[in-house]
Amino acid sequence: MANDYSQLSDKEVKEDIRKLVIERIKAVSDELEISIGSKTYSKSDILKSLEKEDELGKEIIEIQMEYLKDMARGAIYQSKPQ
Amino acid sequence: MTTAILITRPDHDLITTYLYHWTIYVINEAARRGIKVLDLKKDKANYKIFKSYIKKHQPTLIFFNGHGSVDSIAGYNDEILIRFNYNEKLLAQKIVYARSCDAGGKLGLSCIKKGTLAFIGYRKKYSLGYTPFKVTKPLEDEVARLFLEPSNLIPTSLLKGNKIKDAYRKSQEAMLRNIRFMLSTRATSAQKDAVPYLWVNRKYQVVYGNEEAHI
Repeated sequence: MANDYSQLSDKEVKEDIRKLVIERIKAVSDELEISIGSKTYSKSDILKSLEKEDELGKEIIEIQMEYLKDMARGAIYQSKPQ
Repeated sequence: MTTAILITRPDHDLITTYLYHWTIYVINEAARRGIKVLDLKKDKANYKIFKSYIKKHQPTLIFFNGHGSVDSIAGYNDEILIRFNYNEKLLAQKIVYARSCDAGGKLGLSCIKKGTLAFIGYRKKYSLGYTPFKVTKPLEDEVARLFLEPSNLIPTSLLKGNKIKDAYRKSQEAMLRNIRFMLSTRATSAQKDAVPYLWVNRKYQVVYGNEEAHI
């Protein structure tokens, strides 16, 4: 995705982002699970992946950061199709 | 003149089961309009039947529900139905909507090069938020509804005679409306927390080909 979390070279920034996403996921309702591709994930699955920083963890970070960046630039108030 | 549309809807895992059930709204819309539906449900969503139905009935719209990748769209038990640089010609002169991961990348573009009229899909992974205690009743899942109603708008708008560009716009607008609802105080916590996933679905939903096309 456009944020390229995996490409970031600054380890401190990368770690800060990971911690931010972990805190966001900790706050997520237990009544939400997510299917990405062919697999399904609970909140605890996602937290484990973020701790390990495996492929799912990286994907979740990229989704969350892409969303946060887009919200910060006001994309939600643009009504044009993508 | 529209004679038939073809729908694949396997149900071999949780996400395909959700897609299987939510596709019934599209089938009902087709029935209301007297349009024949070639319903490749469950294990009928296999390559042999898929290929023979396309050749025999020449459907004008093909609506895939199933797993995808950058170079394939799959059916029941992930059997490949369309593969990059192999059999995209099966989709020539057809409108395609692939509710599948990643197929809206190079595969969608390749389909257009090989004669597909228009292709709507997702060029990243397709995400679905759902409620764990509703998995046996997918149509009652108020989180999944926010994802699947806007995506159903692509085929239902086409069935109503809309052009590709209008079906795409309506789906985009519906996702945005749902996102705004999810951020409001009217949404449940689970609905709010699912916003990032619907956001990326919207962002990476793509349309290629002739946007004036219709069925």
